[in-house]
Amino acid sequence: MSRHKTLVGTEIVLVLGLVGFVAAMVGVEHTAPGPARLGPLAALGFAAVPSVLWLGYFYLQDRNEPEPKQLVFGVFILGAFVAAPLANFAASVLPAGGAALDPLSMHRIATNILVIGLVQEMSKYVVVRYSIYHHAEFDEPMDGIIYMMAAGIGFATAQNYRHLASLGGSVVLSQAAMNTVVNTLAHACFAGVLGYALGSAKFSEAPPVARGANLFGGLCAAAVLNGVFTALEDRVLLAGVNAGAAWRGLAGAAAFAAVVFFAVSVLMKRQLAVSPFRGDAARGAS
Amino acid sequence: MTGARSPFHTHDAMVLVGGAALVAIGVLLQPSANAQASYATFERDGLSVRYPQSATWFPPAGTGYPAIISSAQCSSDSRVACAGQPTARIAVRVYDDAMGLGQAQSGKDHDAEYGDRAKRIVAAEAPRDIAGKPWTCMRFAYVPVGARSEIAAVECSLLSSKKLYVVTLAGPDGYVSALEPEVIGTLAVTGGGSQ
Repeated sequence: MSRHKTLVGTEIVLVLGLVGFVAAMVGVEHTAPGPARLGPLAALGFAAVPSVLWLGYFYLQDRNEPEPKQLVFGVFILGAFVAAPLANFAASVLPAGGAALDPLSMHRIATNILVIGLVQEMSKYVVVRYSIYHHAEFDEPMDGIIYMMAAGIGFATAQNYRHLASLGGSVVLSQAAMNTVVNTLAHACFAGVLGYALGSAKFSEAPPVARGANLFGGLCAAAVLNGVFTALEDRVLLAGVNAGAAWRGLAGAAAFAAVVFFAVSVLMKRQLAVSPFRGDAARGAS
Repeated sequence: MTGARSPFHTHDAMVLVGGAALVAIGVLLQPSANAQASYATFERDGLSVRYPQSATWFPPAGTGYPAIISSAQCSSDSRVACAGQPTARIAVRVYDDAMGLGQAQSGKDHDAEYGDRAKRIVAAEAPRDIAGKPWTCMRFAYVPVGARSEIAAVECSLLSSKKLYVVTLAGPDGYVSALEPEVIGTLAVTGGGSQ
């Protein structure tokens, strides 16, 4: 079997694993109806399963010159233990959002983008920019996407755990599973957009100001996507007793994350096409 | 690669400073968002209760008690689609306490509404001054009918002019914390002093 077929097969298994995770939680909920009580370890496992699967999926996209696993995992850890606490600290210091209760109101979306989105994306950016960015293994544009996505998935893992732990033992398993899968994908993809700019900027021949502008554009794009997604997710959090509204909110968030996922897939193809290792990969596959 | 020698390594201040500037703009925008939230007032039996004035908040239809002010956000035509599944709600009850029976009835109504719904006391009853009146407020969480997870509630009561006023704000944590200053914090009862 060729390497390409192996990769595609592994990707399919990982995606099926994500679908299976949600299906299993739906099944458990049908067997034992009502909210479940998740202890700290169970909540950690619940948050980690989709993260490991998504991390594996995106790692496999680095077809030309795969990054060392320990470095990708290290950036994942930085995302969970540095970027997420940093963003939460900044959010706690900044004045809280007010009584704009409609999740899709323009004011709420604007503050979601300018405060939540920017703070979260800058936190992911900082852990990559001031760690792996200078490493010798960061040697092709695609690496920007891979490392930023690893940071984004680590970030999402910490946020998902925090959310599950805050539910006080009343976790609706089906919704929580779907939410965790979608949230992890979304944060990975937003970070991937910024990673595209990061990889492009590092290996560009343009003057520093132009690279900085490129990077700033990537940050703004990621923040906008993050802010809109947060507004869609708020519909789930604010749905309260209304289970139908929660599922509609989740469906909207999932559709949005899927669109961003396909956009990031296009960006990954573009970075793979300009990789200096492109020829090596082609020779290895044949 | 050229990246290792690039001055870009020391030139990304634009990203950090620009990002911080945008965050500052977002923080400055927030107060204006708060100021733009408008409220309507529900008045009955001398009690005034403020609630958000928006297309997704509905005042009570009838004249009886409990008078439920409900919110729903699950459809563009939410009054039709979601009236039976409120996202958040404000329940208003006013009892005639001339014979001292209002408090007993209030307790029965409370138990019927919340008592067997996995109610969990978050903060026991405590005095709270609201607009110069000595209200008593408590916090609890409960699982509403038809729901699968608990929501938060703040309930305040006031005995005034031989009437017992009970107002309960319930909903997701985010709703309750955002609404409490404007709904519970501005409760007003006209006439009479506390007893």
